[in-house]
Amino acid sequence: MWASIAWRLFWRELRRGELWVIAFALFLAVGSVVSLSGITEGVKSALLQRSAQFNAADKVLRSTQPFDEQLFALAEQQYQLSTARQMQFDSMLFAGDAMQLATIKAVSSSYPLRGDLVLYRSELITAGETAMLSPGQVFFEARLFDLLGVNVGDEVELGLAKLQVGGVIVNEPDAPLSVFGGSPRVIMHLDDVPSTDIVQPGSRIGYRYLFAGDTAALAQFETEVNDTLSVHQRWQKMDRESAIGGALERAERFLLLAGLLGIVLAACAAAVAASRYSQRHTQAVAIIKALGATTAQIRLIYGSHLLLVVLFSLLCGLVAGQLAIGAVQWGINLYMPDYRAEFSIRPLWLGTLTCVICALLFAARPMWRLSNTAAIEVLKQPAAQFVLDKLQWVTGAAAIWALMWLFSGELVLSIGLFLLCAGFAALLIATAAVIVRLVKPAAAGQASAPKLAIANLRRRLWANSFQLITFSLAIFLALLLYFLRAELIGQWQRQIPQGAPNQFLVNINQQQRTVLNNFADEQQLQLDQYYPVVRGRLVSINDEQLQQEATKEDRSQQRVGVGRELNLTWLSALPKNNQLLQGNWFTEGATAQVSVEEEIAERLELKLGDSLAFSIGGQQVSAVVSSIRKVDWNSLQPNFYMILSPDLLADFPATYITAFYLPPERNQLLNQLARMLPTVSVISVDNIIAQVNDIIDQVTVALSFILLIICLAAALVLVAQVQATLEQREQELAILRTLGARYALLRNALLLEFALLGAMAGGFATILAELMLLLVQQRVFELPFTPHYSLWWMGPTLGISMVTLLGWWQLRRLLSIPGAQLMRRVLQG
Amino acid sequence: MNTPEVHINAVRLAKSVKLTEGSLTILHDISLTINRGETVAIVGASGSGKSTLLSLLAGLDVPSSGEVYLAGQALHRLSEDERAAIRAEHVGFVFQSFLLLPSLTAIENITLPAELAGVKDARERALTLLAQVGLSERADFYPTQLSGGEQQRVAIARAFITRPAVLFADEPSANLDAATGQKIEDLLFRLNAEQGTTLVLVTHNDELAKRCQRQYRMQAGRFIDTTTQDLADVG
Repeated sequence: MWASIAWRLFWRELRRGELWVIAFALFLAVGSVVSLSGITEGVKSALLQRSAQFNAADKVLRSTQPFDEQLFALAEQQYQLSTARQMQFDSMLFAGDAMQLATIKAVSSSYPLRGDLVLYRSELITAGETAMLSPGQVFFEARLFDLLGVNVGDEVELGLAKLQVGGVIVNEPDAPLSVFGGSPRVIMHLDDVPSTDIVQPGSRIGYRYLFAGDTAALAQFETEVNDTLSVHQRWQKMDRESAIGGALERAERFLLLAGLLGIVLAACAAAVAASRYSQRHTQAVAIIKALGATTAQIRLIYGSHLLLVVLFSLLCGLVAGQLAIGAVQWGINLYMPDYRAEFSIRPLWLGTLTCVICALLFAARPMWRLSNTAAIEVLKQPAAQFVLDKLQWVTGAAAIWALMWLFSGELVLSIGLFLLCAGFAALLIATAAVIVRLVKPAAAGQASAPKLAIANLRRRLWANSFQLITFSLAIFLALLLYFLRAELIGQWQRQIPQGAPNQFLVNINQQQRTVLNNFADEQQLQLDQYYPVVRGRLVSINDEQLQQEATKEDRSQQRVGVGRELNLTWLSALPKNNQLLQGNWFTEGATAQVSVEEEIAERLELKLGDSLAFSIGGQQVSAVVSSIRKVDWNSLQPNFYMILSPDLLADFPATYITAFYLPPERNQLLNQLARMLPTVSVISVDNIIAQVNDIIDQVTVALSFILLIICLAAALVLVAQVQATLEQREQELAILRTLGARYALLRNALLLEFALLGAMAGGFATILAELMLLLVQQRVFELPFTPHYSLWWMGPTLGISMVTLLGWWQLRRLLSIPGAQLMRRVLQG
Repeated sequence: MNTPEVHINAVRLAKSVKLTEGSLTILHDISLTINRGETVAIVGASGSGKSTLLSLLAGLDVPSSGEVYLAGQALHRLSEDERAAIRAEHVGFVFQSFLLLPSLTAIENITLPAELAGVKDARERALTLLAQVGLSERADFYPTQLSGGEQQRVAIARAFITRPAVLFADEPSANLDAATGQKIEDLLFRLNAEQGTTLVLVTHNDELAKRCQRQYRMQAGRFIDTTTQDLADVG
């Protein structure tokens, strides 16, 4: 029987519109969670796919031991992954009398799995017909043609094999992103490796297993393989030392947190709407109870209402979120035609969980309280004033924290953020109380509209505090997002400022410096400083010999070295994107000192005062660790693990690195430069810059979307709040109208009340946003604080206009009802 | 109904409420007995405690001390839900401010108690009652579309749908103009007589009170006077 009553009441309540506010708030929360997490995943997967192109695969396993066929079989058969093989080693290439050390990459036919390998049957990267890599051929980096004095079609010797020069490498997807090119690069077919006879026991050869395929299958495969990995095998980090990794991580966290706060606002709107719904139905429940309904029947009736609303909102939210994801994936596809959209279940369950948390902790409590209404209430006058019950604050706070945890996935961060919000709320309530109290005497002698407005604010102080908190939070977020977006984009752009070097020149010898300087002068190019580079190997730490390659057996007995030659430099000044963590930078006349990068210092367990010995060109050089530096790997600048004091390396023959900015339309100059200085490698970082710019574009779109959600959620909170005070306002208006208050007075009082509320919310938001920006500027971006002057007018203006417009939109109808009709409505209840 | 039989019995009822400044006693030492089919008025000025007494007799609330029995059940010992079950079975209400559910139509408001009590022919009964109160044409009107008098007629129909043994009426005509109030009172007494219901009427109106067989007069939470009408005066 209860079901038919519940159903009938439900439809009528839907028509009355109250349930829609709860439904819309929950819908907004679910929709934003699904779309935000889905969109972030989409953007992330697009960027990973993009970065996979720079790795030639989705996953790369590096090993120093020959290929393990079982791994390929497992990947191909059990996980349906595509695979490719790659071997890399340094070897001498001979062409007649000429010889050159080169970095040889031997790849299987399926290489690359992601991105494109572009080869030209030509000596120049600017022109030539496209070529395919086939056994019996080698392809050269452009400068190698001059170094060896060969042309396309000539024969070169590699180990015991004779191979034909097929052409030039135009684009190698997984060429090192690092600006240190090292030896010239050569690509050959893997099938030719046995004939070279280069692979001997003890040869230093890098084996790479390339995998690509479905993300979930890759993850499962990785988990399964992880248990069987030997010390010789490790997964390659996909983004290390690239500008993309850091930008992506920052963007993701920022989006999630900003989105989360929007969701919290929506949940608050749901809580207010549910509280109001419950309060408005107190008398109805008392009547039904007086007529003989039990508490259990009431719970069934009103619980089913909540359940129907939740299910409806959940369904709509999931569908809308999925549609938004689809739209974004479609958008990404425009950017990246080879983007593979993947369906992920995570946004859907995250949305569902959010809905359950919101419904249970925000909306269920008022409904529960409603069902406990005593029958005796039927004889009492229903309360017109909207009050949030105390336990509701507790369950609401718990829900907010749970959402923060769920969404950020970090316990400490969620607790910190929650405490920050709670502190902010407490501060706001206290400040609002003080302001309203202070304003009273000043208003005493003024015209009636301000007096009425302030009286209204004072009377609804508690309810207004909640409104003030949510609105301040919303405006704060909007301001923060707006300014942080500018800050974030600015920071990325500063990282790659307009006109920052995009062409790096590596391998310049002393004589070529003069030629290069003249060329730069002629072409009006601005050359960066010259970094000297000497290649050397770290051989001992505190006189303890280092093992150069880790093997399982003797791992514990001997310290492990870096495993490859390092680029050593000497500088008298600390590079600008480096930060000293320990020790001091070289003083004037410092001798035999070395400054070590933080990560490698940790890996090699180095501390200040340790003595390092390097082997450079057969000679040994010792230096004491005098400082440990943090290096910004995101900066597109030459970065060094080891910087030695100038006295140590000055006598060694060095090559130099420099860089300059070349506008894209002058790219022809690169060919001229290559002909003039054939042994110098030109490395272009234009593609990395383009990638970072892509991220900025995508993040900007996502941020605008979040801004929209936050504004919608904030508006919803105000709508719910104003609706919650509707009865009381109706009563007051009826009385005032009856007592002869004119329309203009009531209208002005109402507008002023909302304007004051908006001004307070905007003011608080401005102060908080400025403080937060100060923190972010100093801590995150490490920049000196600059005040945001425009913030100080934008915040209050935004507050006043948003709150006043929304309040007016809600209440204008009430004002237009004739006094007598209003009175009758009030009396009828 | 020929044999007088005790239907409602209150023994030394008291009710106090806690306030911030201490406790306030609203009812003091009230004892009364109402027989089946009897009509009883509780008369008093505003704040005399008559509505509080009604809430205790009807099982809407429980006394701070004393005992109250309705249809043989000790209401003071029952939980809210157990009292709800007694109300569903034995009690009907008519309130001063009608208290119809605004989201239900007239006929739906009338059927509500019957549906809660699991009555099968609720709709048929409701239609009959609507005809009896003269509102057949307004069955599908919402309360806001009805006048005050019409709303109270719907409330009376609602009160009788479960054929309750006791009807509690709290100032049934106080919110209406004199003429409409008179009609409502007539309707109430007519239906009550037809169904042989025990009627407990709370009012400040002496004229209305005189239409009941007995009147208890209250002041400051106590009975100050009890009058029994000649049957001839009642009607």
